[in-house]
Amino acid sequence: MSLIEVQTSEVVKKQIGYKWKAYTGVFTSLVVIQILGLLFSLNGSGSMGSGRTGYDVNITYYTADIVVGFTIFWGFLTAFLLTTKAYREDDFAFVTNRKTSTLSTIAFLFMICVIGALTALLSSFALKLLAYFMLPGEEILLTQGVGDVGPWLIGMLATFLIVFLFSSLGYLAGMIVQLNKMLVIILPVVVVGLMILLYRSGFQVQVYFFEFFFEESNAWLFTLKTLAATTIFYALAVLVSNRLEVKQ
Amino acid sequence: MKAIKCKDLNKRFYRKNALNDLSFSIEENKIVGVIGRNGAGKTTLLKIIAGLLKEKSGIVEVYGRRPFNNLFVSANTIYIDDAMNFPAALTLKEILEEGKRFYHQWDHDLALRLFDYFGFDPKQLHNELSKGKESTFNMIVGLASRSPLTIFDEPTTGMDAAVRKDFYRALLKDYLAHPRTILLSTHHLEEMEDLLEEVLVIHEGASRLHTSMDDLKEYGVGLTGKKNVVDSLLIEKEIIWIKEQAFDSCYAVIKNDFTDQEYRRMQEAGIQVSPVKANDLCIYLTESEHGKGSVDDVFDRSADV
Amino acid sequence: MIVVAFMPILILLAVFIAMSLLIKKSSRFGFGRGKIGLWMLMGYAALLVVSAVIFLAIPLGSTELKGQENDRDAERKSQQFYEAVQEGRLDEIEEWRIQEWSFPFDEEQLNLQVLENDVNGINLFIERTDDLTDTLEAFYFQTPLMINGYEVEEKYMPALSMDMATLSVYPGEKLNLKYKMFGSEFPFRLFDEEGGYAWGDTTVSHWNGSALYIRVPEGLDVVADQNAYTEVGPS
Repeated sequence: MSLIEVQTSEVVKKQIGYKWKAYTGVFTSLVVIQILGLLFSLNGSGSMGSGRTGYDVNITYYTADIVVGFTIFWGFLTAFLLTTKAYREDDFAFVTNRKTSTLSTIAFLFMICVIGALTALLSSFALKLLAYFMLPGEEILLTQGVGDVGPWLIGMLATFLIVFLFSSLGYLAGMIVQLNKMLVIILPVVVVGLMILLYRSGFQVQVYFFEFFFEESNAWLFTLKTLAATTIFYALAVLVSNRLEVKQ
Repeated sequence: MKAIKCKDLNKRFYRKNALNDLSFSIEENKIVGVIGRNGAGKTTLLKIIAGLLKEKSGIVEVYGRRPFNNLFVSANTIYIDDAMNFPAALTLKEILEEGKRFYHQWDHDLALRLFDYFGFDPKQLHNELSKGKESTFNMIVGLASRSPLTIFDEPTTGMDAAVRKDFYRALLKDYLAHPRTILLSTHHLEEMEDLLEEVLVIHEGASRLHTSMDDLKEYGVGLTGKKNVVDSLLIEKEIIWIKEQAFDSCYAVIKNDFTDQEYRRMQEAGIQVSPVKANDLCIYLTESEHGKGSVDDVFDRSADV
Repeated sequence: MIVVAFMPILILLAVFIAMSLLIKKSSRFGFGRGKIGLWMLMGYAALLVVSAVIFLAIPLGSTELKGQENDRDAERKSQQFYEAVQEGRLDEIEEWRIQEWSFPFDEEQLNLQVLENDVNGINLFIERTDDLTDTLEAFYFQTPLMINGYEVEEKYMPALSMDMATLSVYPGEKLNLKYKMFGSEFPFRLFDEEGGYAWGDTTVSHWNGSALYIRVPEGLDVVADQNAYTEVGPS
């Protein structure tokens, strides 16, 4: 039998197609969690009552923020679960090594994060349509930007970047946990413990984290920051994954 | 070029040594049986060769390259065991199609014909198969991949006798048409005697014996006779296994390097000389050295108490 | 109460467990079997696209909401309004007149009775004028209620009634307004230079001015609680 030399890129491409077919379960969870988010959102994300001379104003605020939040959470959890042994072994049924396996998983996560972000933002229309037709309240107040293409695309990009960033965090966390199962408990304890310690010494990590990413009003800088962080997290995950054996 | 080369290979799992300075090499295009007791390190060895596990120390090379994390080795190797993990979302047919995409030498026609022959439903899911069916399906994947190095780890788990027989025939026919290196670990050596060209006997993580199948059949010889007579003959011989029997007689298995003259002397001394089956020989070869003897001893002792 | 406090955590926990079960491969609950996931996604996406199209096709009166900036505007406007009222320049605030009353009156003393509930205070202004004899005139002015730049169309007005020498001012029927406000999701608000439009910024302007302006004949004796009204002298 002649021996075959294969290119990494060729195998990665094949694996992306393979994962696309094999991991359709992630879409089930995506749809379920977004519908769940929509149901929560129907209650209104906020409500404000205000009394003025002769007026009693009550405004219910509808936004798919919860859906977007759930989608971010979904991105984290999906990436986390894709690092579990059952999923990693799927890769190794066919031609692969750790590099192609990780690269194709990241590419796959990239694609599903695009889909997740897209459906999350589209669900906003479904929510508003439902609210428009079904829920009480005489008049509709729109805030700006609904239906404008330009801002919508930028918002879409931002949503995707955030979901993708959290997926990289989930992937890294998952890989670290795979090193040793005990880390499932130790890792959160260490992270939360460190945050509390730093908080005591006057440095609030989570605040810094949110300021760093979410109070960046420049779209380019935001893109740069999130992509850089995502790349770092994935690179760390690759480093960790290279230490993992497949079957034991 | 050697298909597989191992030198002083070691592997440790937490507290236990799985492989102990294992050294051997296998030529290309041979069918090799990897024989050993449960826990001897067969699976560990095969997984290291397939690149799924990382060796602790020593050298392991598949087609001249270290298999762990190696795409070239992965592309030219397929590892089939009874715990194959295929995606739950794919039907059996789709799994075969994926195999076709990944393995360049994949014979899809063969895969489909075997698939039909064994009566699989294309729409079925892999994790819904019975144990025997699952093994059969995995075997089809292994055969159809036509990988230059094909590794079967306990491929016949759960298969009934008829399917096992079909499997051996299919394997042999496909091997003859497309020679390649095949590693098989099995507990059914007697069924595979006609299939295997070489045998690698693993005992406690080390290579106990590596020889051709033909040599293995001739390797040992069984002597039965009065204990004192047999004992006298065994001096300076390599004793593989010895068991005392009733009426002061004993049965000994020794390496077959007697001269014709010695044979004659033994016959004169009233010793029965019998051939040892390959399967039995392997059992004797892998007998624990701590003198646990056979399972009979367990019951004898409990009878004493 | 304690249950309510832990609700978000419980919900999140439930979601987490449900998700894990759904995604986990070995799970028997999982829908990860077969192609269900892909079909669900396609159906869901189709539904979303259709609803987006319908939503965008609905002729909604889109209001550009302005937020804080608008509030400053309203504050200025309300100051102008009260200045105009104080100085009796009714022509300047003509556009905000909502209602006017006219009562024949020939008594020498007017009893002003203001019934207030605890929320609605009505600003009363009284002007004595030579123009009127044997008549009372009342006007109700109000600058519109603004919700972040959105002008509320429903108008509130008090009720007046004249009985002998007593003018009673009743609070009008309270207007219960219910609105649905559609906001954009937080990723859209990230790059808005003005800090974006967030839910918290929503303000129902409290700068809207209202005045019940009563013109009475010169020399009429108005009997009322001293704090109930402001005497207006046109310059």
